[in-house]
Amino acid sequence: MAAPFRKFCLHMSVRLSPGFQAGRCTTPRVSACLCSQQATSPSPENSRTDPLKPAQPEFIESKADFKWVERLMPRYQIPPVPEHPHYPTPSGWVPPTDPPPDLPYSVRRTRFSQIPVYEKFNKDGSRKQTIIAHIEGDIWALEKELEEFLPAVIGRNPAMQVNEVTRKVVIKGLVTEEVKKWLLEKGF
Amino acid sequence: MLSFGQRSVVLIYQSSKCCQRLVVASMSSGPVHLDIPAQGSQQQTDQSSVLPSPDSPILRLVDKSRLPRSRFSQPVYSWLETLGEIKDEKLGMVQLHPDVFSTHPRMDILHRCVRWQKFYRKINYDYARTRADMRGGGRKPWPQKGSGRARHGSIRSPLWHLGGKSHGPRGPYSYYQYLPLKERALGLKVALTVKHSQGDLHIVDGLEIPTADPEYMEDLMRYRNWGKSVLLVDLNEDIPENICEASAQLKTINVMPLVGLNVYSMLKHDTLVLSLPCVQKLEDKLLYQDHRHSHGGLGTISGDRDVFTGTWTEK
Amino acid sequence: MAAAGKGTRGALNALKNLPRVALTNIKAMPGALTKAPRRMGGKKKRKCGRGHKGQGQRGTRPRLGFEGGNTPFYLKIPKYGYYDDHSRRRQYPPLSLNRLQYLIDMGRVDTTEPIDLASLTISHAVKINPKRQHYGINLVEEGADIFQAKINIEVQYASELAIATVERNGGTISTAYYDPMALLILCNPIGFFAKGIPIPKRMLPPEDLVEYYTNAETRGYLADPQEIQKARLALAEKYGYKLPDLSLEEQFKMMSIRKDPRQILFGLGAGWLVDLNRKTVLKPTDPDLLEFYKS
Repeated sequence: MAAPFRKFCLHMSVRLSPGFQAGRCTTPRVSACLCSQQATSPSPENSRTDPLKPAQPEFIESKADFKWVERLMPRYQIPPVPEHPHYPTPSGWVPPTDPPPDLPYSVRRTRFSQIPVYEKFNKDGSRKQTIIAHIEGDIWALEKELEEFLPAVIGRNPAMQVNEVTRKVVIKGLVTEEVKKWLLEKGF
Repeated sequence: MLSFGQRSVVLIYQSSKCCQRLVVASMSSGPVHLDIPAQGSQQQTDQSSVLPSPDSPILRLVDKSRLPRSRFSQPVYSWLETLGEIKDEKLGMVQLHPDVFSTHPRMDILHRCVRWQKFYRKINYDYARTRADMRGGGRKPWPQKGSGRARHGSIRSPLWHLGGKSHGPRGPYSYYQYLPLKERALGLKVALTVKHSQGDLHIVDGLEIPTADPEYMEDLMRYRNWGKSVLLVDLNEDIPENICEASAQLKTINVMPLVGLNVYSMLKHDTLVLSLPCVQKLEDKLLYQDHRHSHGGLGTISGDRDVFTGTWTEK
Repeated sequence: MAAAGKGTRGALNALKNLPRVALTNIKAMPGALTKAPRRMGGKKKRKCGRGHKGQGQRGTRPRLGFEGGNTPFYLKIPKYGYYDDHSRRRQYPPLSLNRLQYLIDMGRVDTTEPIDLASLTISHAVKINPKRQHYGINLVEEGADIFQAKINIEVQYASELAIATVERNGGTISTAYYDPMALLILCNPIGFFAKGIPIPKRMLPPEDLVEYYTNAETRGYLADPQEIQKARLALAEKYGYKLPDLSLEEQFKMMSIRKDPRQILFGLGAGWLVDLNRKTVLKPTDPDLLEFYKS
């Protein structure tokens, strides 16, 4: 498709900017060719325009149609979750309870409003870990409750690491779904 | 009113070896840090806008919808002060967002930020000549065999006295590096948190002072126990003239616009003074980092985009 | 030092009574700045883990597949054409109904407006890279049982059950072809506008795709609308659901919005120029240009 399109691009640019050189500048910029009224006036080299006739505007400017462009601006901010008539939503999402549960610790939702429980593998996949992040309050209380909860899931005493600096609990083994469900039931 | 407990002021005594902090109770001025607002008029103010009224001493409230739903992240408070007179008069209270002014104090992040700021501008000019850079040494000093001496091919070999240096510094070497944007944002949050919790953050209504005499600022610092050095931050670059002139004559007082605020400068100065409009801008910019998509991939014209807010600049 | 409170609160309370945090008294996490030691000392001193003599120790082993001079296996056995043209085949990354429902629940996809590839990419819902031979998205039927949204969606490929699920909920779906250049614009419209060149015309599908995109059963964008209506009824009969009457709906106008076959972005025609600095759209009036860009 490129050949006719490119030809017309160049064609337009030549007509719009007197100093334009097709060989040197392959992609004409808006600021270069459309910044002022001079741009829309006919250029002297152009044989198509009769110099005796008054200059015709070659474009219609439309500010109203810019709303279609504004819709296309990239959205970097993650929008807040809208209110739903009932929970869980069709995709199974449940909000945290309001007011938050009365526990000595708290697990805050991620920026995507999910429970922050992640899996981690080492390079060859032999070490599998479950990580709970975004913990607030007494992290040791959470560890204590996990110690009571996890033996029923994995059938042995859990091996856990508590990082007080980064506020994370690392569990040996993959128990992501169970821990997520457990935290959801607690109301986080 | 509020139960602030015993207001305490921190004085710093500079001994020959180390800084010591002594707590002197019941003085009229000093830092205030409240983890949880006491039961009182603050709790009843549910308005989400700024309402300076005689009943409520709080002059600024954080937007309720932006507060996290957590029992452990409650807003923190600070006095609103003024530089207009030396006497330390409080204008009211200012509510601060917990995710910016009361984050977990990650000292390692502070260290990484400071290390990055020291390193990215560093260039090592050290240069040591290798055997190839040195004069001579092209000739074999003696035959390989028959002389009874060890075999050698060059008098500039690294083994030789006055030989070339192997694996020496080959400057100029740049230590340019960059931290992830989120880590830099977290560093700012932690630095603000640390300053606030240690009572070294002061929020003022503006940076206007009545005179350009540097002694005024010196007296003010001394009277309010602001330590040896102060960093004053204003929202824009049009900083009032008096404070500019006064700080230009003093080595320990520095003024900067908000865009220049950084972890290194915050930790270098004893006290940080923010003007009130800075607080809102800081919260907007730093909280955006917690609620954004990756900037990669769709970054179209990165020069035109403000990475700290994700917005496009007006032209 | 006993801190009042636990967690962050305790740490901040402890900070109050500690010396002022300054450049001189911060340090990194233990072990953060130590490098892994070189394997020289200790037990590994003698051979440094490389074994005794030979190619193993000197790192001069022959290349992978080399059989010491024999014609190697990978050259002896002739190739078979499973992967011919694999680097040029059209790829359609999947978007499942499950994921789409999740994005709608989270407020990241707006159902009050027609959904096309542009609205999905700018809200970071899908990632399309035309340079990797991506030609659009494939709406797959995973999550058809939970999908409840009513949408007007345009995709590049869709399975029959996915089409049926969208239509059962009172939505509409169409499949449309975008050539690679159009897809680049669709994935990064603002980046394209910043180049300052007019929006090109969308190309028609290549020969082998004409059948797919003119077929009413796949809801092709070049199919006859009456045929599509027939196909909708037939699909409803096949899957046993009652097709909601769209003309009675409030959102009938939105549901019936379609792009022109030569149009790339909603509301913006071929040949138009977007000036981001002055926030205007420039439409050519030259008859030659209008002739070239007409669909």
